[in-house]
Amino acid sequence: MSENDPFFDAWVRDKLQQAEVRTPEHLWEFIRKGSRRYGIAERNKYLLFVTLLLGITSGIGYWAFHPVAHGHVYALASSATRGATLSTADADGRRKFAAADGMEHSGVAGSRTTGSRTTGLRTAGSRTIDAAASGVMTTGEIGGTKVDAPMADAPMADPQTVQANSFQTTAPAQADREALNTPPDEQARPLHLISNTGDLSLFSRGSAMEQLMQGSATVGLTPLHLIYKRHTYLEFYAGPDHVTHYITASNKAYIAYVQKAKATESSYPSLSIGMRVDMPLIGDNWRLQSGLHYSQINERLTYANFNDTKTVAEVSVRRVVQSIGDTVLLKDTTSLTYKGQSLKQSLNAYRRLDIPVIVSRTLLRRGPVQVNTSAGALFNITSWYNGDILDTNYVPIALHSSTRKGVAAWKSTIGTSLYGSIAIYDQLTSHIQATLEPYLRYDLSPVNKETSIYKEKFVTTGLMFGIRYQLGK
Amino acid sequence: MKHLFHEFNLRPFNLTEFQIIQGCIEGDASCQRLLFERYAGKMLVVCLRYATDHMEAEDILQNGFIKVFRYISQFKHEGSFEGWVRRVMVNTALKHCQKKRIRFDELHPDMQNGPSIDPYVYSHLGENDLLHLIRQLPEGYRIVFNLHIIEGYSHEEIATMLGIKDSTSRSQLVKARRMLQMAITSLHKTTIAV
Repeated sequence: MSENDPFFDAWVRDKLQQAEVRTPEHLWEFIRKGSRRYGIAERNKYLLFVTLLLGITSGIGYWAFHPVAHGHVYALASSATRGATLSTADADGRRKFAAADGMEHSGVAGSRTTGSRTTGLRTAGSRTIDAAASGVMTTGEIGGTKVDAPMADAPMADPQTVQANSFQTTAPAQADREALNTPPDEQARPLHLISNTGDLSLFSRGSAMEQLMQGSATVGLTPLHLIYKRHTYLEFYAGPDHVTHYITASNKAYIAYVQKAKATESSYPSLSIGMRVDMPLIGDNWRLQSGLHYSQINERLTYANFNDTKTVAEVSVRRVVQSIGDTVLLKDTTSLTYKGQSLKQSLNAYRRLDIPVIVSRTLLRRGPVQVNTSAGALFNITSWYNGDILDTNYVPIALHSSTRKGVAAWKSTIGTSLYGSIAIYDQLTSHIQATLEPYLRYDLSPVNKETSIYKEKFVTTGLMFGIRYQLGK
Repeated sequence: MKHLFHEFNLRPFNLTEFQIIQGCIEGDASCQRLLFERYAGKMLVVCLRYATDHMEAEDILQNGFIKVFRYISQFKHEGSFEGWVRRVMVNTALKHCQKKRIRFDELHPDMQNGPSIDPYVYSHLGENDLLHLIRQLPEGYRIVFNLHIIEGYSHEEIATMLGIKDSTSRSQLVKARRMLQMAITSLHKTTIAV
């Protein structure tokens, strides 16, 4: 076998080196968009990097060091067990932080106590409210009414008298339940005090509320959403998905077909929408989520045939009058073949309805923000689809879940998918939370029927935005 | 580059290659368009030689031109610009092909010397037909054939580019050439029969 054939090589080189073909017009649009996108990112890469860095740093700083996020008082749950936290405004409207050591901390937009010391406060008027920790009873007067406020279960109850901001706390004190006519089970109800300028919180008896409300300070129940209990939520969500298609041939003989199919199909933005019930499973940290999940997977099919031929038969009719009364009708059939290029673009949509069964674990709670991680499975109930697909002759044909409207090459139930996500919740109101949940979904089985010559699997990454509504109180 | 058009009352097609390149470096869309129109046809042929079908070739061309516009500032004006663009396209095509893991199998180990081609065929075989036949070669054969015969790379360079031995490159080339010659002969026979 000779290694060289200079004449042949030169002939091929001459033929092809300067050869030119017509370029499809749509290509320039793709290139222009691609270059522009890169150009914007390239020109502003340092700015983007610095912005991203600043964003992340300030975000971490805000959540890590800011005691109150989004205007919520978030330390109430801890104050219920560890001590009392009170803040108020003094006569000139300045906000003060009344601490156990009697010191005043001005300008704090919220409050948190880390110890179990008894604290007191002065409201805008001259009335005083005393609060005590567990086993510690604080006595005070509001509008001439004596109010006792026993604190709930503080483990470090300090039986000493603490004087703060000129009002008095006695300890240990006796509960004056009869005077207040309050059932014992209501005694540890959390109260949320709202002064003219800020929030005040303490644990007190329910009936003390009315008396307190007569003053300039108003008293209400501590929002339950701020005390993490075993709540059940109803969640509604929706968001965009990106679906990656993995296509493999079921047999080596169909590799060429698969390559062609891959070349013609491209990913297209998809979406998910759903609702689910989020209920406590073990404690409050482990939760179970289940409901209905609808997702629509889109893909674009672009098929170009550069040697398309189309044959059209044309019939022309002629009337020949040979003599009077002798007319002949002649029909000429002409077959015309057109050669050219054809481009077919269509959107394939695969829609499915699933039941998610997801277990969620709370990773972090910081004020109104909560971060959960979730894992589970989505069980497909039904699927339906429409679009176009290449047949084995590389010609697009209709794809439809109904066999009357096209080839039903895909399954009507795809089976089980694995699901994993990280969810971030932000408390909006006492019963409503906003949710943001990036997630990954992996289909265990291919979408095609067993008889199909190729297997196509979906891996979905998505970002769900939702609203979570707390059921009950 | 827009100021250039205004200053000298130039229309885009009057620009020299140097001016077009400068315009592309500045990110001027009309210069990029001009560059694309000037070279797209030729570069699509390059891509078609490496791709298995027209769509794959278009993908390569698209990625190749995005790279050209991205790295055009690195062109040193040494040698022809067309050659530089062609090299970018070839590298893009190779990367694209390598994603699919090219197999350099000895598909036809018993292949004898190629048939002698009728001189008539040389004069009458069109570029598109030849391109079509090259595209039908197995991927390993096709890439080595293109790199050596048309792009002019040596076997050593091809071996480095593709991570194979020199001897593999040589044998792939010989077999690719024979296979192509046989395909041309059989196409010619079919044409005569029809």
